[in-house]
Amino acid sequence: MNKIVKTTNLCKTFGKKHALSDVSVSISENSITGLIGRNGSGKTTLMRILAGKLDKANGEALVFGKEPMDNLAVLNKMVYTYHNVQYDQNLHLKTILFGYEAIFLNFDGTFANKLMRYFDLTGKMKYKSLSQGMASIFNFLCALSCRAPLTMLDEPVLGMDVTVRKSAYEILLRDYTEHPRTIIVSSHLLSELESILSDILLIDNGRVVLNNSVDDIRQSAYRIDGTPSAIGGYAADKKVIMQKKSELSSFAVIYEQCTEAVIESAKKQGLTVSPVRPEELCVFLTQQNKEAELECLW
Amino acid sequence: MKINFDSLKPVYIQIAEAIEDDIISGILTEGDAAYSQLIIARGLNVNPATAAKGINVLVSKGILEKQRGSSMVVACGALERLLSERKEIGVNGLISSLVSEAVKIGVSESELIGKIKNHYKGLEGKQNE
Amino acid sequence: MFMVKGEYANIKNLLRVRLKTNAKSFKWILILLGLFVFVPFVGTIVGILQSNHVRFYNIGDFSLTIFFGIGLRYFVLMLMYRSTNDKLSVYPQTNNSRFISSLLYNFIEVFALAAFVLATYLIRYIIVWVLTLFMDNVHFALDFDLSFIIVGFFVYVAYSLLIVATIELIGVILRKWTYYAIVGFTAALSWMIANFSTVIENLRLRISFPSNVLAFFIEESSLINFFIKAIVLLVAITAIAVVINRYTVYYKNQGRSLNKGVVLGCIVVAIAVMVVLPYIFFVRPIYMTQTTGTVTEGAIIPVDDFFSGFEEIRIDISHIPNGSNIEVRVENREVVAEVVTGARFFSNTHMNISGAESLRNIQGDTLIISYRPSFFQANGIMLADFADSQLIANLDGNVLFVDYVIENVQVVFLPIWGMARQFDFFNDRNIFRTPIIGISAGGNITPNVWLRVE
Repeated sequence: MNKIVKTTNLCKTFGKKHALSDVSVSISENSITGLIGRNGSGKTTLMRILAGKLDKANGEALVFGKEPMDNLAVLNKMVYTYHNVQYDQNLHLKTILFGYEAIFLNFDGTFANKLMRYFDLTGKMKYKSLSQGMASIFNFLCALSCRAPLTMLDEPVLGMDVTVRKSAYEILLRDYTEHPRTIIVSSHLLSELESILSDILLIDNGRVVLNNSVDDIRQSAYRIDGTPSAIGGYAADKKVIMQKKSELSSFAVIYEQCTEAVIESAKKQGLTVSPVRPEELCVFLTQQNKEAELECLW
Repeated sequence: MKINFDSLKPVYIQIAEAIEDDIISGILTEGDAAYSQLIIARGLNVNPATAAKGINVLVSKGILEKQRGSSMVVACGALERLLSERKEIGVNGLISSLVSEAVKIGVSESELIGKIKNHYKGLEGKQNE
Repeated sequence: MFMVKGEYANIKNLLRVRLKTNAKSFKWILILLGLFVFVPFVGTIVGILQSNHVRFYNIGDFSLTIFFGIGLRYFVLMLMYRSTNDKLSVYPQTNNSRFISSLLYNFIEVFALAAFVLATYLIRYIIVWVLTLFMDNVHFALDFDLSFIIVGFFVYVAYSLLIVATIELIGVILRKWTYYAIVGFTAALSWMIANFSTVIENLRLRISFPSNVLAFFIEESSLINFFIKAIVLLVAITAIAVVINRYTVYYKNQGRSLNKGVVLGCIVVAIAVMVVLPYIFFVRPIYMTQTTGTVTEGAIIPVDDFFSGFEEIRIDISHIPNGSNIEVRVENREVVAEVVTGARFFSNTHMNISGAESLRNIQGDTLIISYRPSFFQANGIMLADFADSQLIANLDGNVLFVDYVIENVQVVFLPIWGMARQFDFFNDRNIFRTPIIGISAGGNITPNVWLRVE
């Protein structure tokens, strides 16, 4: 499989802050990768470096096999957009669309106009008069219409209400099936996004925590509920990434391949097995263990 | 077809089983073009790769066949194979759960068989009405 | 060569985007400038049509106003390079294509502004020219010289492009070596100001600004040499700027902004170094030489010498007995002539008559009225070229009525390409007058009159 993006030991610092440390990832062609992470985890930094819009400090970042910065061979095949792209404030939307059409070779103006109508936007509107949600929609549809072989969307649905978000995901998936391309979507709302992703890249504090296909991630952990003693016995020799013990419900999340055999053996010990959604897994892997502090609030 | 993301069963397995259900219930017959990965992806809002994985499971089981080009058709004898598989594995699995549960709550073997017979009579009765 | 594969197309596309994006605001700039030019011009036309006395319409050289405007506008734009280009960052571009497309866009804008200046000149000229067809008393002070207009246009474009290119070069240097450049440029600027400043007029800085830098262009009298110099310099400056830009990383650190405190500190230090220190340590003040006033003894000038160059009216008064008095009456009049620039410049119209006392107890047969014909000049243009003034003197009994008339002429002074004055090619043409900037008008609209009896 062609690796569209490949980074090796990528590092970036802003002053004293390490935005990215030793990030080595690869993203396959025509995959839809979810770039997941908390606020400030380094998602935007990574995307900017891949888009050639940020100087890296160390390591290597190759897009289409080459360094992206100032490299038209790479830049012409990609579009990077975020929810609040800066344009000249007084521009009409149709002027901005003209710009896209002039520069992006594959830009589909008809498609963009249809999307505009679909989301109740008109060319005469001024960019500055758009609410956050509408601006996000506009930037999203522009990026989608570029049909760029690498499309990077940084928090594209910020500000969109739930119906619009669902339409956006559906349109993204549908257009992807019609015109396959490599897509990287960063978000901190994984649950809604999960079904359309093929891969997940989880970043926390500038480091890669997970870089796997969604199917594998779904199978990579499971939750057991039961009595504390049963849990304790079962989990003694396993990797536990989350545990909660209380009178009503005790559970543990085991980081292990969830096979038929595993399910059987857990059932035999009186434990119920349930799946862990990728979003939950990401939370468990990146949380800061502030349980004790939480209790102290009251 | 509906995908349950909260099930232990992987999504692609659910897709494969849903296609099998459609074959068993006659919605898809042998020789028909099966759903393509794109149709499944669009219809269920899942990533086409996942849909493809589900289809490939059926291909490796011999339920679906790849024709010239890239279209998939329901293989000959697929229905038979599915029915026998369900009988063998599916029903057996259910029986094993049923028997363990019955043992757990103290239902004897003859009681269980009696209940099963009653159940069949009841279904027959409904069919005659 | 210099360019990466595909960069030409990228530059072209970026340029198209810049043109489209800025079209609207540029259109508004032109509209505002148009109003700035044509609203007063309407006043000029109304004045011409309504006026009943001599008027000299000193319409300023719009090309010079725009020239300074260009300097200011592109300086400000240069400082805003980052924020302007961040708004185009969504489009694929390289460091090189970003800068070159910006440069080319600015050049195109300059060209458009020059064309606009030319258009405002032509439109105004044509409108006044149409008036001259219907009204005999409307005149142009300056000729319409086609070769000058065309050549001057290119001179103007050359100067403007050079200004913009220099500003861009300064901008590129500021972006690459920010803090050093701030110090350097502030020092250079304060040095220049110190050299030319009239506040410290008495002082001469030891390191004086090489005046031949400016002279290199301003004193070039051959057109061909000028254009060669201009093109060579333009290419050189642009090339240097492009090269420096190429080695500047645009995305060094997203969101980095200049530390304002440090910038201010640099500026203060630079000013201190260049102005204050030399003033204290290096200056050799040149003292003003005392001029002793020259006293000229009052000399008695023979009458004939004094009045040479004057016009004369002789009136026979032999019929008036000696010893009688002749009274002089002068017509009072309102404004007779003015220069219209927006700042009106009145000319007092009361005639100045000397020698009325010599009409008492007359001893002679001839009354001689000597007068200097009124002269009035604005911007070096003599009103007498267009309007004759005439002194009228009538003796009615014992009363001398003195009056003068000037034709009602409307003279329109419409200059253009004021900075193209230095070329030999344009010598001996009626297209310029000194001074370039501002107006100078003066003279005596009323004739000074001397009376005597012989």
